[in-house]
Formats: sequence, C-alpha cells, structure tokens
Amino acid sequence: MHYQKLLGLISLLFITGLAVGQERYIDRAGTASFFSEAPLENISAHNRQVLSIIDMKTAEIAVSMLMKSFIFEKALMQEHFNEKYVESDKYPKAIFKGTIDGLDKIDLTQNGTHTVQVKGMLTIHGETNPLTTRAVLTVENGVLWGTTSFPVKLEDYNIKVPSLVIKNIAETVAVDVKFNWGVR
Amino acid sequence: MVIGLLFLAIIIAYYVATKPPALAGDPAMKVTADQLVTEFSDHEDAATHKYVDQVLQVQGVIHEVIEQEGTFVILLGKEAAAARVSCTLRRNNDAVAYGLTTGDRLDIKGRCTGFLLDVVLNDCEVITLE
Repeated sequence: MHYQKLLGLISLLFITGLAVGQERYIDRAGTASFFSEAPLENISAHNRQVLSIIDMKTAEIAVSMLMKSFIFEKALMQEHFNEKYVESDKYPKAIFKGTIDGLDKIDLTQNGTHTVQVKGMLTIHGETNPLTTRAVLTVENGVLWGTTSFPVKLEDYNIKVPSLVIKNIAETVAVDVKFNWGVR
Repeated sequence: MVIGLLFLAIIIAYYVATKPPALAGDPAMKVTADQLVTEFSDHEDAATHKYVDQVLQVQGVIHEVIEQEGTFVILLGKEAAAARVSCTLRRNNDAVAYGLTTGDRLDIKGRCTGFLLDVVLNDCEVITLE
C-alpha cells in the first residue's frame, strides 16, 4: 500500500511537472551501485534503471529503484541477495525521499560544481531510517548531474547475514548513486 | 575413488558459486510495449504476478537510447506516454545498440524486474529490428 501511495506521488509529481514546465526534472535511468568489502571476497552490484525526480522549486527529491534490477557478477550472489537478504519479492523497491539544502542557490544556466547536503528517509527491506549525505551537483551546458556516496549498515535495515557467510559479506556496504537530470 | 568424487564435488561447487548470472532464455510471453505499460499502470499487482521474473519478448518503438559508461538503456513507448518500457541491454549487445535510434521499431527480449514509472526489463537482447 505504501508503495502505491509513493508511486501515485511520483506520477503526480511527474504529471504536474509537465504542466508547470521545467521546475521538475526526471531521470529514468540513474545508476546505483554498492560495494561490499569482506575478508573472503568483495561483492559489487549495479542497477542502471533508477528513477529520480527533483523539484527545483521545493528542493525535494524522490528516488525509487527495483531490488531485482541489481546485476551481480555471479548468479549465486544475485540469487542470495534477492531471496535471502533483501527479500525482493516481499520488498521489491528501495525508496528515498528528502530535500536538498542549497538547491535554490544553483543557477542552471551557469556551468559549475556545487556541494550540497541531502537529508531524508531511506527505505530498504521495509525498514526506514534517516539519511544525511553530501552530494555533488554539476551543471554542464544546461544538464544537471548529481552524485553521492553513503554507507548502508545492513543491521539498520534488518538485513540478516548468516554467521556461515559472515566473512563473505560486509556489515556496512558502500553505496554510490549517479543521476542525470535535464536530458531525459 | 572417494578422492576422485570429492575432487569432482569441489569443481562443481566452484562452478556453481562463480558462474555469471544466466542470460535471459527463450521468452515465455510475447507482448507489445503499450500493452505491458497499460497492464502495469492499471493493475500493478496482477501484472507483477503475471510478468515479473519472466523473460518477455516486447515489441515497441524506441523513444530514446541512453548510454551509460558503455551500457545501454533503451526506452520503448509513445512520445506522449508518461510510462515506458525501460530495457537495459546486456553487454554483448553493444554493437547492435550503436545502430539504434529513436523511432526504430524492434522486438527485444529481457527479464521483467517490475514497475517504477516505467516497466523495467534487464539483461535485454535485440531480436529483430524493422
């Protein structure tokens, strides 16, 4: 039910965004990657179909991604990730909703790089926690790029790692995201 | 004998643990991009049950080709539509992707992972291009 409400909100943001012009930007193909560094092995995965909407007027940002769209190097890792850890049939999406401090000071007609603070709530595996992170926004010829990195502690999202594979999976994984608003 | 079997078991275990994700196999269903978007937009739960985790053959018109560091995401759908079908091409399809442009009609197969604003397909491969 929660997801449907959010989807409704995203649709609404998108539709009203179209109506009022270039105040809201959407990226349907953002990237999210995570990296787990553990004594026995390093694991990375990439999701290239991350949806994000940014509202230049209210400085709000909404991000949504499908857990099943994370691609791993090894099939078994992908299977365990979906079935045992994030339970993607039960919790199909990861969602972030927040605001960007200092977005109003960015002029989209001027090329430049800006460091901003993003604050909001991140939901993974049905658990929601506050998230504050620094992000870099770059304006390049009318295109707005955004990148950020932050740690995700698996315990905070009730993701349990069996003791048998404790040396294969890090307790905290590093997440990197990249968006491109303005072209698409 | 026992050592031989053990050795074989280790080789099999290693193969299973390290093999790359399986590529999308033969499509279980054939559907147009518009039909897929309509079903997910109208009844997301039913469409999720029907399509997610299935390999689909989707026919549609390219709205946009997006390149991200050597990987391609193809958006299929009508210009005016809010929702589209988003397809990430598998890496070995790059050569095909460079030849794709907006307006091309094609058949693409891939594994459906769900619905955000667009219906999402992974591990896609272009089957036919008109």
